[in-house]
Amino acid sequence: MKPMLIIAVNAFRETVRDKILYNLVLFAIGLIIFSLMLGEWSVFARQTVISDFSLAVMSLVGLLMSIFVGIGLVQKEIQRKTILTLLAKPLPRWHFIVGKYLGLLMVLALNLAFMTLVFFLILILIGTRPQANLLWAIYLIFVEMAVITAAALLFSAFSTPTMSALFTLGVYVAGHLSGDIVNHLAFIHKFGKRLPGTPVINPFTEKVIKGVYYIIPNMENFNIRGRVVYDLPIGHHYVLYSSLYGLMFIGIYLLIAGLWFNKRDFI
Amino acid sequence: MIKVEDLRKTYRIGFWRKSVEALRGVSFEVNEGDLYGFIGPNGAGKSTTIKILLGLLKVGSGKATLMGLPAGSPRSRQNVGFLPEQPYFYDYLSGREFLWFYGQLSGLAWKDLKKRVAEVTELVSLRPEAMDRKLRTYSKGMLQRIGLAQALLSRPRLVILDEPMSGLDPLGRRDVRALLQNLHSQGITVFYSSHVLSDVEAICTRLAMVVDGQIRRQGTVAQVLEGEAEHYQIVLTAEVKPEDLPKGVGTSLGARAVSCPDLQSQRSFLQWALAQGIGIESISRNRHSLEDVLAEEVAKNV
Repeated sequence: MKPMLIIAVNAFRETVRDKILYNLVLFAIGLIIFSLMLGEWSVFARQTVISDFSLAVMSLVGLLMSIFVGIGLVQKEIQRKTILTLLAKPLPRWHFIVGKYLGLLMVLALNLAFMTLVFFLILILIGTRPQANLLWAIYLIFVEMAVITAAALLFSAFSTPTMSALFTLGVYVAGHLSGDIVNHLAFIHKFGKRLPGTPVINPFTEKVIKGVYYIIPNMENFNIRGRVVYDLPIGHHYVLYSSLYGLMFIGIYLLIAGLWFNKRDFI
Repeated sequence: MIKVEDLRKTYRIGFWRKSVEALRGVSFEVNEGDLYGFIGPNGAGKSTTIKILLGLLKVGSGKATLMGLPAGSPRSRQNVGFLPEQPYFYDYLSGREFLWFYGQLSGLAWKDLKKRVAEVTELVSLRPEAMDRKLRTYSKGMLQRIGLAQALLSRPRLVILDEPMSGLDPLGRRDVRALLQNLHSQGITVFYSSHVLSDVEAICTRLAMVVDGQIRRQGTVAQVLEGEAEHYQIVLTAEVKPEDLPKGVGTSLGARAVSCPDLQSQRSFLQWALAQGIGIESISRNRHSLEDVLAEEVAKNV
C-alpha cells in the first residue's frame, strides 16, 4: 500500500505543478462568476440559473481535467522514460497504475472542492443558503469523473495520447446516450407494432446496442443536477447505488489497465 | 548475483509487427563482489539484457535470475540499484524532492532518509546547493550524478548501471570510474554496460562481450585477451607505400608507421628499411586491446 500512496502523492504534486490545471481552474471560476450575470438576465429564479450553470461548468471542467491529465499521467512517464527507474524499484506494476490514479483523484477532489467553494460563495452573495442536496450532485460529478479518469488511464496504457483522448470522450458521450437508446429500444418493442412508421430494429443491431450499454457505464446515473437544482428529493439509496455502480466500472477499468500494463515491455 | 541462461528476446516492431531478434541465447553469470563490465556495440543487446534483468522487458525464452529470484519479480529487485541509459527524471521536482521520492519508494525509513540523501549526494559529488534546484535546470552531467545517487540510496547489494559514463565530461568520467571502484571495494557487486572500453579494461574484474545478441567472449580481461596476437608497431622517419612493404607487414596509423604481426616480419621489415635508407623513430611491442578484440568480433558479422 505504501508505495502506491507515495506514487499518488507524487502524481498529485506533478499535476498541481502543471500550468494546464490552473488554466482550467481559472476558466471554471470565470464561468461560475459569469453565472451571476446569467442569473440577472434569465427569466427563471436567479439561484436556479446560477446552480444549474455552475454545476454544468464543474462537470465540464472535471471532464476536461480527467481526459487531459488522465491520459497524460502514464503516457508522459512512458515517453520520457521516467517509468524505467520507477518500475525498477521493488514494487508491482499495478501499484504504479493505482498510485497514479489515486493521485489524479486527489487533484480532481481538490479542484471540485475549490470550485464548490466559489459556487457557494456566489450563492451566499446573492442571499441564498446553499442546499445540502447540491453537495450530492457535486459528489456524483466526482464519481463520474473518477470513472472517466479510470477509462482515460486504461486507454492510455495501450494507446497514443490522441487516440486515448478520443476513446475516453467516446465513453463519456456514449455513456450519456446509451440509456436513452436502450429506453428507445424498449419503447419500440412495446409500441412499435401499434405505431405506423416506427423503424424495425435488426436483432443483431439490438444485441450490439445492448452489449455496448452493459460495457459502457451509463453516465446519466451520475447526473442528478436537474433534480437538485429544482430542489427535488434525492434518495440516499440512489447515491449509494450510483457510487457502487461507478466503483464497479472503476475496478474493471483499472484491473484491465493493470493486467495490460503488467504484460507490456518498456523498451 | 546475476545468472542468465540461454536468454532470448524478440521484439515485434512497426505496423507489420516485423520481428527483430535482440538476444539470441545469452548466458553469463555475475558473482558476488564482481565489478562486471558488459560491453558491445550499439544495438548488440546490452540494454535489452539489463531491462530483462530489471523486469522492464519480459523474458522471451531462457532464464534470468537476480539474487536467485526470477528476474521480473519485485522481490528480486529488493537490493538492487539501477540507473538507465540517458536517464530522464521528473523535471518538476527539486534534487532533494527527487531523492526523497525514490528513497521512500525503495523502502527507506523517514528518519534515515535525510542522512542517507546527504551521504549519496556527497558520494556522487553533487553540490548541496544544487539539491534545492529543480531538475529541469540541471546539466546532463548533474542528471547523471543524481541518477547514480538514486541508484545507491537504498544501500543496494547489486548495482546495475546502463552506460553510466555517457554524457559526462572527462572529469565526470573519472569520478564515476572512481565511484565504481569505491563501490567494489565496499563489497557491492557492480554490473555495468559501457562503450568506454579502456575503463572496462582498467577496472573490471570480469566482463562479457555481446555482439549481435550473443555473448562472444567472457571472463577476466586476461582471459578475454588470451590468445590474442601481440604485434610490433614501428614508427618511421619517412612515409612508406603499403605495396612496397615486405609480406605480412602493413601500415598502421597513417603512412609513417607500420605494424608487424610477429618477430620474423619485424626483422624482415627492419632489413628492408635499412636497405631503403628509412630511419626508425621507435619500436613498441603492443598487445591487442579490448577495442581490437571487439572490432574483430564485430567484423566477423560483416
